[in-house]
Amino acid sequence: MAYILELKDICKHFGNVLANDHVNLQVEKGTVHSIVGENGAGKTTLMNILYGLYKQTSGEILIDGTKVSIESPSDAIRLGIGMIHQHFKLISAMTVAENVMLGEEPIKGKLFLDLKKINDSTLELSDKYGLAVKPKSMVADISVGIRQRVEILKALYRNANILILDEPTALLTPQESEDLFRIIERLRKDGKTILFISHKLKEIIQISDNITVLRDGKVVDTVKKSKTNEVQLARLMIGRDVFLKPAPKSKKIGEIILKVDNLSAVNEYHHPVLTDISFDVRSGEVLGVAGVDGNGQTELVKALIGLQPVSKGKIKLRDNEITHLSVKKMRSAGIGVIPEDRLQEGLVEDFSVEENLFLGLQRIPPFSNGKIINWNAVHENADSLVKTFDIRTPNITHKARLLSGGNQQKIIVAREIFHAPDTIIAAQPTRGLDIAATDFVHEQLIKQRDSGKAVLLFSLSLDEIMLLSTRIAVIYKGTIVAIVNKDDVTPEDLGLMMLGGSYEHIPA
Amino acid sequence: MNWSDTLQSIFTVTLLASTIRVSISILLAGMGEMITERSGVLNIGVEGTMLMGALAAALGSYFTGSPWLGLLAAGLVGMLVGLLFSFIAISLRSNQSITGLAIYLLCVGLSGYLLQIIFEHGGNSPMVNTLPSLHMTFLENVPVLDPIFNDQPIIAIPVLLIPVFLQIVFYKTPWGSWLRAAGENPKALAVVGKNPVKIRYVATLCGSFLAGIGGAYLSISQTSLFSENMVAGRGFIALSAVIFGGVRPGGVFLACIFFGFMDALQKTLQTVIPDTMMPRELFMALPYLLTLLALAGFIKKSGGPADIGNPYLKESR
Repeated sequence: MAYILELKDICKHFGNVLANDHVNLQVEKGTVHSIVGENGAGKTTLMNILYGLYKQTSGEILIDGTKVSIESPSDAIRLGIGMIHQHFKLISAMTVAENVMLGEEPIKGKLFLDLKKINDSTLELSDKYGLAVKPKSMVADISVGIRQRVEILKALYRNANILILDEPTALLTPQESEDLFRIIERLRKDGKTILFISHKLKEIIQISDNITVLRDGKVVDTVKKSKTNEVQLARLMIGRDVFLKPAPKSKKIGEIILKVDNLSAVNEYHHPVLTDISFDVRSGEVLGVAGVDGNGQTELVKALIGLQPVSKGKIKLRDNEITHLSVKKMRSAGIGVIPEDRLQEGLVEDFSVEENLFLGLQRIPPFSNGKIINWNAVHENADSLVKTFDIRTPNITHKARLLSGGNQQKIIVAREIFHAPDTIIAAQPTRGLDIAATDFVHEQLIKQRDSGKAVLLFSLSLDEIMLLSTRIAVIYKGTIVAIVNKDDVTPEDLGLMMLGGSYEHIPA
Repeated sequence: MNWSDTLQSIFTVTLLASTIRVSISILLAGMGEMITERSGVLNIGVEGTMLMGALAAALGSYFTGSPWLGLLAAGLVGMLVGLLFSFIAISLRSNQSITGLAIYLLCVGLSGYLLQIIFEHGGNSPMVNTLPSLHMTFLENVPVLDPIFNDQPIIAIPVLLIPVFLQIVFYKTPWGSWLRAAGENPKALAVVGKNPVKIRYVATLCGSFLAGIGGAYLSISQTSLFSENMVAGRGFIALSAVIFGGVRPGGVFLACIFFGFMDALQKTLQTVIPDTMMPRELFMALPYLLTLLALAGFIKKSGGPADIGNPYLKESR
């Protein structure tokens, strides 16, 4: 049969890096075709080529059997290709309708914007596909899920027949994802072809007709949904078997390392964000903090590293009180942190890999005598961490900006895990990571636990909390509502507590 | 000295008429810079562009005898300066602030040098023909309006209408929508098939054209010669007015008029209040002082374009 879209031997070089290596792809009209692969497998690069944002080094693109040349997004749009980018390309200071029509605005009187038509057509299109957007809302004021629908509208308005969705669920809540899948189903029924980019196997199996797996820039295989399963896909993606399995039990739980007593804090508007929080973390254990996003996790992490002023209570590291110390002193007291927003708080993107690997440790031996940096120690440290943590970089002087997200994260994990003498605070340590990298980070955290460090794990993923924790603290509305042994609870119990439910029947 | 008499002698319709006269050059430069900044380009070289415009106008008027051709020359030379800036800051993606500063310094030196070699003496050009003023007979017997608006420089009325025109262009036309998009998120514009680089060029050239005209106003309307450094900080005041006014036509208009008013006020105060009571230097510093205060309070809340000052790069990784 004729394919709506065909890629033949697409190659793309970025300097020395081969991001796409002779990629062949055939997409049938009216199907949902998933492109899956690990971070850095070349999925996004391939889609950017298709949308004219990059130019392939070699290879051909065929639409409806005709060879086409896509030099720019305008070419792609003209050929009926629309792209919904992972990071939305919207203008916050404009309305939904203005964004939808941008560049193709309806005109009246030869010169002027037809604002009525702009709003009406947007509404009409939104209703047709059940997108439920309000044309006159400012983009700055709408949620992430709705912003994504605005992107979909933009493509539909330009008569896109092939819609590329680049990791569309990465920023969505589970509920928003379900809504998106319903929209995708509706689009498919309407005859649109969907290219769905993801590394989340569960959702891929849920919505795809066909699945193409990429690894290291190459196509590994294309399979029909009906003839595959998550395990097979994972194996294809990674090239070996990986199952996220529960960590082995803590071997030796020792003395209390980190102790928090009645900690309270207020935000800049003087509203309480943390109320009477008490817990301790012992040597050799992982204390998981479970909770729905926005219940004080971010503030607690900041309080523990000295970024959030504390109004009441104490933080003790072994026998030393560190409550009101500066960030620098808290770090040198022995706390390592994998921050939640790692690009903002964990890396200097324009620094090299080796500089990032000793960031914040510049005054500490062996990296310096407090005044002058010992670059030999820096090189050695970088060489060894790059090897141990399998950070994929051409060399240690490469800029961190140029690495993939997963590798950037490995830099932070490597630095913090390796140099924290006592306590590791890991905030969402695997967010955005693929399976192999997640598995690796988990392994490293457990290794540190077993070497006698105290690990405090913050995660929004209940699965992750259950896999790694020795004990679990549930945080709700800025306070710890329960601390339980992992073996004594089910995920359902935890889910209930995270929503403020009672926990009386659960032994602590 | 009687205070109420003093106040009455300061706040007269003459002060308002004078406000308009001194505001024109700031308004032209400010409106121009606003267009440029809306597209995401910060051109702090306005002062230099104005200076070159002032010189070009005087030269044009001197050699052709027509101040109108001088005005045209000023606009074109302004665009030429803008083109140089655009090439360095937009195409070569250099730091916009540093480029603007360099352009300013270049223009200061170049205008002085050209004056020297063309007329073989520095300081001032010879006297040149100036633009006429506009007398509207129908206003003659209207109180207040007549002394304020009548017999103003001929370009005053059109200049006062520029903000209205730009308000329409910015918010009612497709081009205005693309212009704003280029300043907010150029990548969003690129993915719908418009070229942000082109839009930023056009915006910078428009802005520089107006800055050139603003300079011309000083040399062939307000005075009748070019003198070295005659722009005297008005370009920088225009820059502040753009921020002060939130990079929006109405706001920038009011800010320009406000700065013009302060300038007119200090000129009046100098004549009314004796030097012994308050040194005249303090009055002359007043507009600049206010600019500083305004910026300290307003720069963060101005709601200007989100992507201002950032070079646009297509294939980035």
